[in-house]
Amino acid sequence: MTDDLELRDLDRMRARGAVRAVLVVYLAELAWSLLAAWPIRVHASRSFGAHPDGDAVLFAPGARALLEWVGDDSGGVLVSALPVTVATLLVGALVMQLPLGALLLRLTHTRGGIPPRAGEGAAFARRAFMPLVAIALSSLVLEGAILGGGVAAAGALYDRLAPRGDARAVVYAMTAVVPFLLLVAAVGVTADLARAAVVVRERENLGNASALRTALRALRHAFSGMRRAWALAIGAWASRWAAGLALVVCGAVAAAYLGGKAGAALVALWVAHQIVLLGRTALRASWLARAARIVAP
Amino acid sequence: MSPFCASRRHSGAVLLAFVLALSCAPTLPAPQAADAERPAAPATPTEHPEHVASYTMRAKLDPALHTVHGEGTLTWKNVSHSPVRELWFHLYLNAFKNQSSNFMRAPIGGFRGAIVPTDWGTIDVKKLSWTDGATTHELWDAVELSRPDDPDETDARVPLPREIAPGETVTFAMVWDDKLPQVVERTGYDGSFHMVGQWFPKIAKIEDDGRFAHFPFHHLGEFYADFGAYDVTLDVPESFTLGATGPATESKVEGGRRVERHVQADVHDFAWTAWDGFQKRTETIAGVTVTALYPPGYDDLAERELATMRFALPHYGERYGAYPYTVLTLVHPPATVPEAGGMEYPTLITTGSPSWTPRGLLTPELVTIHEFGHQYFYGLFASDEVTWPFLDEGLNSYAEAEAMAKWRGAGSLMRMFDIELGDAEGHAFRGNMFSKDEKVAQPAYAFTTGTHYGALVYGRTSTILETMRRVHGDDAMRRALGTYAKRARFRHPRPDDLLGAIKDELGERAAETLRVALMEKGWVDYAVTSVASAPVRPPAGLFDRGGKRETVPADSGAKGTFEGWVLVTRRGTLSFPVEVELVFADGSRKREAWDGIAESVRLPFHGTSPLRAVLVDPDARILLDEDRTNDFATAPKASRAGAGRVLERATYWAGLALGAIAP
Ligand SMILES: [Zn+2]
Repeated sequence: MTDDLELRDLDRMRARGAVRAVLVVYLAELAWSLLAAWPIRVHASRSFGAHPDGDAVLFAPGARALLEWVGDDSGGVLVSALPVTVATLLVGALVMQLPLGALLLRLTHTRGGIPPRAGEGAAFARRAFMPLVAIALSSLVLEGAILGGGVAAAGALYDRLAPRGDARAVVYAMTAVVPFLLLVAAVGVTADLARAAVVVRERENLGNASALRTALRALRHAFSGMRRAWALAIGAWASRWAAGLALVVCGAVAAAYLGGKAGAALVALWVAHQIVLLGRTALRASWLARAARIVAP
Repeated sequence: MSPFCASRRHSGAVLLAFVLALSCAPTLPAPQAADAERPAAPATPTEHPEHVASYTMRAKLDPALHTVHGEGTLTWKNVSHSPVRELWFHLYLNAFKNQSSNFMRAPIGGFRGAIVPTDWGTIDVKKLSWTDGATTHELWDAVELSRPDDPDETDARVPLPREIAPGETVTFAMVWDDKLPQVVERTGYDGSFHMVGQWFPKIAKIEDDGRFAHFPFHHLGEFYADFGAYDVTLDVPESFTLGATGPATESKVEGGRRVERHVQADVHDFAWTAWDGFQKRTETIAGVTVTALYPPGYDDLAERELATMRFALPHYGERYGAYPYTVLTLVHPPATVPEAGGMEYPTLITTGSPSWTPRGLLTPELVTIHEFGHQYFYGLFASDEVTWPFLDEGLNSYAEAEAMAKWRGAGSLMRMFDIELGDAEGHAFRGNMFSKDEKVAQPAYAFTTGTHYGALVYGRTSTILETMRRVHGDDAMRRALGTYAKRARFRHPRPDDLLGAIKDELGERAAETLRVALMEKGWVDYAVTSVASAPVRPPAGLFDRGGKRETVPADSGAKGTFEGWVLVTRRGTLSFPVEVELVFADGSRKREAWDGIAESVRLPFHGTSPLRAVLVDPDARILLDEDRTNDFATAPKASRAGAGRVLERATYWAGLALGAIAP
């Protein structure tokens, strides 16, 4: 393809230079999350919306209503609403590759110091969509398989150790999962490098090659990036992952503190939880920018 | 025992099994048909039971072959009014002998014990003799191990050479060999761990009329026995740690063997455990020596179980009478045999839960308190667990939920993710699921599935009694069950004893409610059927006033006052007094009491604010209420409170999930 966009200088590939694009990604995720959550809300509202305190009864001490709402296997939320939510989230995982593509372009390209226009971001997102989906699907399948292997290995180890009756068998078995988790992380990091490579290495070829071929070439860049700078990549990813985890913990603390109340407390909880999600999106953008610097030519 | 492995599915197959079994389910005597021959209950607790069946035994464990060689004597008194011409013995271990046993044949799933043992178990009686004067009779030579139409060998009949008269005491000598199964349900071995329960030839309980309450060991049934004194000498390899019913009065190590003598009076069973892996902690709690035996690495759980006993011993003592024994042993089986856990024997209980159980999940505490509760509802009261399982498991599940809530508050089952899940609420969820399928008060073997047994016997009995506690108040319920406990101690109570205590302390209506709930599948569902709320207006229409005809329009004269009514319906065969809460648009709330006797009530209101919503049973006392989602309504045109909290949380969790799968 031909346009006058060029790669940014490496030290200018930063998330903080792309605040608006980060917000767009966050808002897209928020919209999809609302869509996914809606069937659950409808079910709760149908069951308890007419209660004087609404769905607060689900969070009441004792949790009788919650048990029935969740546990009723003929019409409870798990059987009648959750499957729709899960399906929506799975579709969302693919749809979210569109805002991701726009973010990647915004993080890495410029036109004489001026960021690409929104329309250019959208056009790139469309072209990069299939390669990004290919990378997402393959990495998710691989991660799932590795996790499954880890669980199986831990189970086998536990079965061997447990007859001694020692509680430490559980600890050993759980420790056995750790290498598998590290492997999953490595796959995730490599996949992110490949995503970055789609925009910094393969942008010019996007119209000319098949999605699969583009994804494979991006993966090759990712592998060479990992070979070159695996410690740097994993360190950069891990620090942001840890920060994201800390945000989730803060969210849990906020929920515990604010509880299931209505009114101002509920609004405060909305805000607190959404700050957590926005923060995680920003951390993710920051890491993708770092990944782009690693795989950039 | 504890029902924690019971599944909760309600499938078509379950329903089908229910319909099929209903046609052959035995019917119960009407609860009012009290046994006239039973002596009146004393007003004060009996300090000691009459010793009917006392055993002196010696048992030697071979941990490699998983065998126990036993010998000893049984001293038995005919306490009935009739001469006895035969004896009946329970040979429980034969339940695990083959797949022809009643236990293994039962087409019952959904409860514990639904596995085929990888190594079978048996009890072979070698000798049962009676030296009567100068003559020794070899009674076992004439034993009838099974019936012609039933190959089960757990219920043996032994004819006698002469009658044993009422009041006569006789002594039998016994020799037998056990082969323990790989742990099934409650008993057996796993590696070098041995849980030895139901391991000796046990004489059936004799009833007043001279009939033995004998029965084959059923998949869902438990036990029933006479009180006595046990003097048991256990002989195991030196490296093994022993736990057993009663205190160890002698202990020595000799020739590589550990020999301990355990002596306990006023009990009706004896169980023991031996393992070379046990860790041990001992603590005196409320005057009782409590010993925790547990696998390596379970120190945290042992502490949680001991902490439970620090609360439970005084609490149960205050509510159900003092714990009369000097010892209590808590046995936490290794993780590979959870089936050995969650079981009760006199002064010895088995606990459970994985070592990594988070502190917010209270299953270790719950199992411990449940099994300890059986020291009363099974141990001291000794009701017929086969015929009336609700009297032990049901009442004990209520006691467990009551104690856990008193100790740990609303989150007595789980306290995690800002959710407080109550044990009683868990019972209600399970117990209300099958309320219309089968009655609660029926024999264990009459239940169509283990799931029904678990839900109705444990869950529903607990829910019925907890509803009564919340309706009548904690003091009244404590008095009622305290009276029952006093009358029941050492006296093998029956359903009438429970109904009688409830009637004496809570009144006729409460007793009748309990009877219908237990015996007639009683159920209840309160519902808000309709709500009306409108401004107060003068009557509209044509009026002749002062010689003139006036037209009063329909929407005239609203003066800021409102009126209307709510219609509350009671469905089902049970009734409880209940409160109805009216919630007005200005935020004010008003409660109306309804005796709940009629099938419906229309409650009018009049005030300065329109009605926004109405809620039946605002304090959630009626745990038996079948459907909580019809207990409230929002007035027409009023705004619903909605589901904002659920939307907030679901959106947040969806956002986190999306971030995890969609980078
Ligand atoms: Zn129990």
